[in-house]
Formats: sequence, C-alpha cells, structure tokens
Amino acid sequence: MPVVEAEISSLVRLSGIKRDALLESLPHLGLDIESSDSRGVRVEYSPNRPDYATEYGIAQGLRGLAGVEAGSPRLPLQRRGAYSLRAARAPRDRPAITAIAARGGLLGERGVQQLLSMQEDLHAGIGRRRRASSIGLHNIDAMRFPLEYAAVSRGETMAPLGSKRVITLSEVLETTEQGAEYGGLLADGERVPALTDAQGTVVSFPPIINSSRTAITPATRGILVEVTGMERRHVEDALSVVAATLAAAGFGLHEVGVSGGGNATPRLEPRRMQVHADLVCGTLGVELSPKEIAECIRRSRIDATASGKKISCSVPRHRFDIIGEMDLVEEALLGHGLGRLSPELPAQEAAGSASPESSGIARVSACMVGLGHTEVVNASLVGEPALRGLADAEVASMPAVASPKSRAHTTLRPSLVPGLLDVLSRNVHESYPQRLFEVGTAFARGDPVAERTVLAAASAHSAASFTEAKSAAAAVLRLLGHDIATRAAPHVAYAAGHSADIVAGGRVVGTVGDVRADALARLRIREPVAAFELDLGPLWARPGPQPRKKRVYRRRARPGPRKRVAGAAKG
Amino acid sequence: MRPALHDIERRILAELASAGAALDEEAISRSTGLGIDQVRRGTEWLRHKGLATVEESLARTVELGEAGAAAARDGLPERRLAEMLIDGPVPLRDAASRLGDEFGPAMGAARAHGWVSADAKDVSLAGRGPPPPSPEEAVLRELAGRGTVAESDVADQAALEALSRRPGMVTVSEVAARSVTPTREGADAAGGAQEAGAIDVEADAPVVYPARAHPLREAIAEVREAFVTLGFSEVTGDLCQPCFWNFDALFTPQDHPAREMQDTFYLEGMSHTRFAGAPAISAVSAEHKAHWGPTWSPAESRRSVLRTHTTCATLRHLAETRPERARAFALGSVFRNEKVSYKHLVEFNQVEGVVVGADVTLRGLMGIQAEFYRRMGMERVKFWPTYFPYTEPSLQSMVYSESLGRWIELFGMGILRPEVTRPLGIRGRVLAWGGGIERVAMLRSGLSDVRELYANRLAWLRGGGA
Repeated sequence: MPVVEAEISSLVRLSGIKRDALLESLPHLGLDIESSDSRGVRVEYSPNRPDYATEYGIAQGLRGLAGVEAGSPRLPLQRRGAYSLRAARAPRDRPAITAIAARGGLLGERGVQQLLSMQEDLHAGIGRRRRASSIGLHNIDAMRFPLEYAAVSRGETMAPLGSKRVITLSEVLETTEQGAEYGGLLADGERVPALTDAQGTVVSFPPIINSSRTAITPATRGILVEVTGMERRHVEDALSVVAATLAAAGFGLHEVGVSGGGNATPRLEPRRMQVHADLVCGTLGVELSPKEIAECIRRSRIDATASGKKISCSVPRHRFDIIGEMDLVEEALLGHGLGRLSPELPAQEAAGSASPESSGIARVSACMVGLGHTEVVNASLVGEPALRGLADAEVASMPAVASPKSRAHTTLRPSLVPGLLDVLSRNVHESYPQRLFEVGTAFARGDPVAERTVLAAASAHSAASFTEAKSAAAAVLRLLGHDIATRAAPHVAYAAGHSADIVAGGRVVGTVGDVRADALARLRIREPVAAFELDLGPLWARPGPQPRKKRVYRRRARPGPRKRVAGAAKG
Repeated sequence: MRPALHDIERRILAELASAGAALDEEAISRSTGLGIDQVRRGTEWLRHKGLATVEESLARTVELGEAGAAAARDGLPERRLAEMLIDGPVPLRDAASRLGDEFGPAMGAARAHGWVSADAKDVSLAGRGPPPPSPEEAVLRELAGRGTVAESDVADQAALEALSRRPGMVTVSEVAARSVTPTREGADAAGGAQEAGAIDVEADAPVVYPARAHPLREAIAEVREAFVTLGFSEVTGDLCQPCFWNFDALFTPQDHPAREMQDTFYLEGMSHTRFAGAPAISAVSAEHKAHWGPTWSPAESRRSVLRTHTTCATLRHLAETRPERARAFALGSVFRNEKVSYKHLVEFNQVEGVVVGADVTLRGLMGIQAEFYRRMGMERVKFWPTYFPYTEPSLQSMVYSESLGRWIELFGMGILRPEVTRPLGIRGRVLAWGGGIERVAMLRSGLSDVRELYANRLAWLRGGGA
C-alpha cells in the first residue's frame, strides 16, 4: 500500500481541525497510521484513493468527516481558454493523451515534493508502471502553445530532466535511469511518442521523461498537466486526480483543448448515480432516513440529495473508485462513522461441521502421535536440490513456479519424505529416538495439477528398521479399515532390498523402506532411518470421506454438497 | 514441607525415633543393619539438612584379653578349682600343681566368693555342689558373646572393674564416638519416613519427551473448531487454481499489479483447460469488459497459479451450490511470491468464512467477528474502514493482545462486491472475512519471528511450542 508523509501542522492549517481530533479521524478515512511523532504522521492509503496521496486531499476528507465542509469539492474549471494540444498524429502504440492547465496557486517546496510523490504513486498504481498512464508536470510558462503529440524520430533531441545537455531520444533511452527502466514500454521501430511545443522543442518523451526546460519548481505559478496512455478513460482518471489536488491546493483550472487521434478535451464532469435507502440500511444493519444517508454521503465529499427513498449522487470525476451502488453504501458508512455501528451477533441457523478430510486427517494424526511420532510442518514449495536423490519423480515431472524470489521455493514437492529427512538432518544434536510425521500435499504435473493428501513418517534411532515403519503404517491402515501388504519395489530414497510398495485394497497406496546409508551420510544423520508414505485419498474408510468423484459442470448447478473432495484438504 | 530423604537417612531417623534417645553411630549401625560407613554418611547428610545434631565424644570400649578369651573357653581359675573339688577335698599340693600359676589367683577369688575353705593340708568346697556363677563370670560371658562393647554398656560395672584388674582378662580402648540426636524437624521427618515404602517424591526424575501435534496445527484446529461452533461448514479447494478462480472471478483486473509474477506464483508452462461452465466464464468476462476495458483474455484466465487466498475455494463453492442461506469456511495453504522475513512467508495458512443471505448485514459480520475472537480468548476488538479489491464495504479488525500489550491487526472482512457475486449467479449478500492463521499461532506461542513456526526445531516441538 502506498504511503504518504504528512506534516501535522500543514494538515491543521489546511483543514482547520485541531491536532488531536485530526489524528483521531485519520483512520476513519481509511488511512492507516503507520507511525507518528510530534511533527509528522506516516499514513498508508488505499490504492483506490489516490486523492489521499497529498495533504491537500487528506485535509479535504477530514473537513468532510468533521462536517466543516460537505459535498463534492469545488472544481474551478474555466472552459475554452488559450491552451490547445493537437494529437492527430498520435503514436499508435500510445494513442491517448489529455491535459489541463493550473494557474494562480503556489506549491512551495512542500507542495512540489508532495505532487511528485503523488505522481509516482499514480504511476505505480492505476498507471500500471506507466503502461496504462504516465503523467507529466510542466512549467506552463516555459512552453509555447499549441502543443503537438506525435510519433517522432528517435533522432529528435531534448534535455532530459536533471540535465542541461541536449541529447537524442535514443540516447535518452540508453543513458538515463528512466530510459533503462521504462524503455521496454515503447514499441520497436524508428518512431517514438513525443510532446512538442509550438517552437518545436520536445517537452516530454512519454512514458520515459520530461524536458528539464519545463521542469516545475517551488516558485512555479502555472502548471501544465499532461497524461498519455493506452485508453482515454484511464488517462483522464489520472488527470482528474492531479486536477482535483491542484484545485485543493488553491489553483484555478483552465481547459486545454485536446483534439485529434480519437482524443478530446477532458470535461472532468461528475457522474450521476443513485442509491436506494433500503440498500444502505439493509447492508449496514442500521436505520437511517434517506436524508440522513444523503448527509452521510456528503460528509464523504460526494454531492447527494434525497428524494423519496432514493439518494441521487453526483460523483466527482476523480472518484472513479465509485463504480456501483455498493460503493455509495460504503461512502454512507464512512460518513456515518463505523464507530457508531455496534456489532450484533446474528442467530445461528444450522450446525457447522469440519470437512470429512479434516476429520480424517485429525484421526490419522492422533494415531501417529499415539505411535510416538511428533508432527512437523514443511513447505509445499521447496528447492529442487532438496529433493535430489530422495524422490522417485523426475525433476521434469515436478510442477515448478515462474520467477521465484528464492531458490529455496521453486518446486512443488512430489513426496513428503525428503522434508522429514531434512528435519532429521537439522536436529542431529537432539536426543534419539526421533520419530516424525507430516500430513500435507504432494504434487505432480497434470491438467489440472494432481494434488494428493499424503501422510509421511520417519523413525530415526539405533534400532530403527523397515519392520518398525511397516508396523506403524499397518496401524494407520487398520485405523482406516484396511489390511496392509508390502511388495518389494525399488525407490530412490530406500536401500536396495529394504524397499517396498504398500498395498491396500488391491492398489499401491504408498512406500516403505530403510533410508539409504549414503543419503543419510550426506544429510549427516548418524542413526538408521526407516520411513513410510501413504496416499490418504484412496484410503478414507467409513466414516471418513467418500472417494473422489468427477466434477460435473451443469448449466445450472443444483444446490447440494460439493462434489470434489479428495486431495484438496489442508490444515 | 517434608524434606527429601535418602533411604539411609530415613532408616537412621526411624531408628532414632524408636530408640527415643541419642544413639551413637555404632549402635545405629548394629540395629539398622547399615554399614558403619553408610551410617556415618547418613548422619552427615542429616546434620547438613538440620535434621540431626551429632556430638563427638571419646568412648571407652572393652573386649576380652588373651587370658579373658581363654577363661571364657575354659572357665576362670577359681571355677576350675571349684570343679576339681566336686568329688571331695583335694590336697593343697595337688591342687597347686594342677593349676600352676593360676593356683594363687584361683584360691584368692574362690575364698573371696566363699566357695572354698582350706586347712593345712586340703582344700574343699564350702557348700554342696558347684557354686553359682560369680559376677565376674557373668561379665566374662557377656563380653564373650558381644565382642567389643562400650564400657558403659556393661551391666555390672563393679564386676567389670574386678575382672579388669586381673591381668590379660579385659582390654580397654578409647575410641571417638559420634552420638546422634534428631532435631525437632528430624523427628517430624521421621514420622513420614516411617510410612511403609515411602520414596523421595521430590527428587528429579529423568526427562522423557512426548510425541506431539505441531503447535501451528493445534492453532489451526482451534480456529476450525471456533468456525464450526459458530455454525460454519468447511469446504475445500485445490492449492493450484486457474487465474479464473483466483483473480477473474474476484473482479481483479487482468492488468492488476497483484497478478504480476513478482507477487504471485505462476506454474511454469501449466494451465487449466476445464475449470468452470461456459455461462460463468462469459458472465465474468462481461463484467470485466464493462469495468476494466475490452481486453479480457480467456488464455490469461486459464493459467495455473498457486492460490493467493482461500477465497477461491469459498467462492467456487458458492458458485457451484448457489445457496440462499449458508455459512461456509475454507482453511489451508496460500502462497505469495515474497522475500521471506520475520513477518512474511512464501506459504502460509489462511482461513476465510462466508455468510450468505438476503438479510445479512455488516453489523452482523462485525458481531460474528467479535464472537469468533471471544472464543479464541480475545475480548477487545475494534474495526477500521479499509480497502480490499473484492469487498465493499471493507473493514479491518484489530484485537488487543494482553501478552504484547498493544493492538494488532488480525482479520479483514467485507461484503463481496455485486460485481463478484452477480456473474456467478450468487443471490443475496455474501459476508466474507478471514486472514492468516500464523499470526494467531504466533500469539499463542509468543513467537516474534514467523519462520520459527516452520523451523521444526525438535526441542521446541517436543516442548509443545512453549
């Protein structure tokens, strides 16, 4: 979640609300206080509320909650001014552009800082790392109108932000940090997107970097905001947030006439939406009149009026997180105050139950503890080397994940025995006998991936033997209503001649054996180890779960118990 | 509290108690059958524990000398003289020659006892028949039967003294004696010590380790139990899911950052071909296109991921059963492609409950939540508004941890968006809530590093995670 660092004195000044009341209110806006000291407060804001990225936006919200100023914030937009932007030759791979001008305010040092940090958050969030939208902020007095947005040659030149040196756009991609990071968003080919002013100066090379010539400073009094991207709706979303913030910071807004290439002048007009009072009351579980609901929504800085049972709302353009009436229910809740809702335990209508798998696993686990085995918990996602020489499955048949952050989590385990041996290897300094077990999922490639619920056990002590392991496996099988039979079969983890399949109910359900001495030596385990593994899925006997049934899709699913059960239980 | 006693100490105290007086170690050794070294060791222990005092003194012991031993075997000279006279008087000369050097002492003693009389020629018995044993003889017999005895133990001190004066009859030695007296505590302890077969119940016993369930599994079982008692039925789902159920059905746009490989584990080269009915797929696709743009891709929805939350299991259950009213929950492993740290794991457990009904409310959800925490032993709960992509409204709950002395964030909750439920044909409102279970397990075990739960240190597991 993005974070904003706000100065408490600025918030007090901007909102007119006293310090303590203000700090109390922040969480009720959905802002999570990470830390605070006497001067500042660090809050996390939700990615769906980028308008809270600055002190201006937060102060606006606080004023609403406190009832100082309700309803939609004013958007002082002057239509049809002197600014225009032509996009008839907009690049095909980044066709959307929009812009607005802001004048008459003064950001100051702090304001610039906050605006730039908001820009970064917007890029990371709704901008989808600048692919969907990227924002440029310019000193409007350093450019001549009309502007043109077009695909230009990579040989065009500019002085990128942070440098006075004029270089080609190719060089920008090769030599700047931003070029290295975002160059991949550009299509291959000779031409790249550029915003050029009436004098032919490249002022922006979206989505990479702006020109240093038009950079904003704390003294900048006029700002041009331009946003480029893939879709008109998304670029206007981003524009609306910056525009609302500049308005809150005291700037007047001026329309920039945008035309060409499917683009149009942004209207930034509110949307009209309705919500029914019954939906609000029914959802929240409170009794509120339509008038009260409208008042609550206004406290959330959205214009609202009640007529009959309906509340008509006028949602500011920058509140594009409001997509349906449930969003308005939430706005009503925030305006009402969550603190005024008391929890109420609804009557219970039916008995609950654990899944048959969970109950079965609980019985099997209790049996293993009774046999003197201590339970361990290992990850399903393991490093492939940890399985080498200990699992029958070929590496190629094990499902693997893409782009793992650690080599210790690359592969879905095909067996649980290697994990138990790893635990034994890490506990050689503890007293013996050591008897362990784990119930978990083992995986194999397939469509879908085959998931089996497996019990594995290992016993390590000077007298550990195949026979002990077989006896323990037999005890579990008896519990599940099966007799055990073992049949010689080679397995990678077990010593030759000490390795078998476990057969129950006429099918192979597991393996048992003495772990190979060289494997133990490699793991620095000095005691003999015997182990077994049982596939629990096919073994559940009455009164456990029934065997797996094929999932059937119908056009209309009938109510009833879920069909697919086996191989999925966890916990 | 009764002091812990060794068997030796117990027997010494018991002996002292039955004697009702101070005893020296020799006497204790004799009457208890313990070796003298055992007794010495035992009295030393008792002294250290303040259960007995030991007084050292010099004691005189007596035993038969060489002449005494011979006399014990053959009789004192005066007895042999008396026996010689049984059949009548014997001439002095004969008696003197038969007793040799002992004739003088024999005559002296026999006359002193009044056993014999003598004239110029003969010696004869004063009475009829053998005379009764003399006190000296009694002492001689006593010493012969007992070996070395304390001088003070001999009953007839006058006779002993008389005997001692005769050469070689008695050897007197002086030895250091330790006399043992129980203290009051010792006397009390002896009372217990006398119980038949009593043992030292406070001594250390050898350490044994029980087999145990894993503390995390115990926490999971407790959470499951709390859900079941609140009327929830458990449903299950696979860990590998198509993007459709993990993301698309939850209204997560296909270009959402959470879907990127940096956060989510995609299974290399794997996809699901059958995962939902065509109507559900087209309804979900339409919802996405209406809100997120026209580029929804069916190929993207087929890709296999390790589920990032358990909501895919509950949602799929609701989509397939479409209940009008229900309480269900799913519990199990979920995965995030994160860097492992003290607070983040790649794989952890999550629980998620849903309540379905036309009349369910947010206040009801808060009530269920508070009741759940109460059953888990957490009484103080508060709620904050927050944001989750597929619920609206969304709340975060915090509980007060007595052990940590602060509020901590636990489960999140909300009402599933209509954009989620509508395309899947789920009627009514769906309350949903849940979160990570490791956090609960950490609170129970007092851990501050989540990795400890998966370290499988046997010492910790054997201690039950304490």
